[in-house]
Amino acid sequence: MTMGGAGAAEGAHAARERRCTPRARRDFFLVSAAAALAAAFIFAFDPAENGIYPPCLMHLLTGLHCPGCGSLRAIHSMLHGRFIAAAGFNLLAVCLTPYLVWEYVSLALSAFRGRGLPRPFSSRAGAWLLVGAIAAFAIVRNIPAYPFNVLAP
Amino acid sequence: MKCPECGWENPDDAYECANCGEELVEPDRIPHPRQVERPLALAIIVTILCCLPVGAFAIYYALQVDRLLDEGDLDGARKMARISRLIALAAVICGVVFWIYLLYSQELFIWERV
Repeated sequence: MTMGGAGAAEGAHAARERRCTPRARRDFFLVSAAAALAAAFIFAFDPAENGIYPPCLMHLLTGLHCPGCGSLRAIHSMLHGRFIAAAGFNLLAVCLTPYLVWEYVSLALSAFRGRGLPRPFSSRAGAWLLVGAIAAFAIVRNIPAYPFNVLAP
Repeated sequence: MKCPECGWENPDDAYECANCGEELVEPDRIPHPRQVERPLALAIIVTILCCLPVGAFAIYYALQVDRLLDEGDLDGARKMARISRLIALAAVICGVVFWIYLLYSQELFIWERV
């Protein structure tokens, strides 16, 4: 066995072990704490009826609804279990929530088990699906006519 | 799992032979882990929350990570991940600064609606 072979094997070993580290665990706890704080805040203060939250800059400047407009109200509604109301505020945020949960579970598994879950949207088709969905949502929700303006917040 | 190259006995879930480094799984059948972290969740959170269209750029660069990994361009993938993370973090910082500014300026901040 050559020296190069030993180095490569050690490198491969390190690559597999790297994820199950104190750093991965620290990342997991930081993300958990941030998510819990944000969720508690949005749960407690309804974005629909008080002005603690910042307005959307894009909406302020152009009057258009960006793909994120209504997401705080949607998250507030989801945290209170009102999923249909949430979809009315921001359908995209509701649709992407399962993906964010998936990434969170993957982070937890990679921190404690050393290996996460497979990544969605990795293939070319998956990537185009995500980009296309966001672009279509951004355009359609700004059309001021009946079947489309349902998507506006 | 026995390495077809040198005969070394490896654990069943090994991707590479621990002895000679030979790949034990077809590269396109390796489900996980991909070597470069992809900051797509962060980019999506920025797009959904920060409400600035810059989030779209963060998503674009994050999606390039897996495309470049599939092409075997590890350095390119790392670069894309770094750019995406940078855009997302800049957007988060801008958003927080803007929010604090609003809280103190009292101009657009409408307590009466509470």
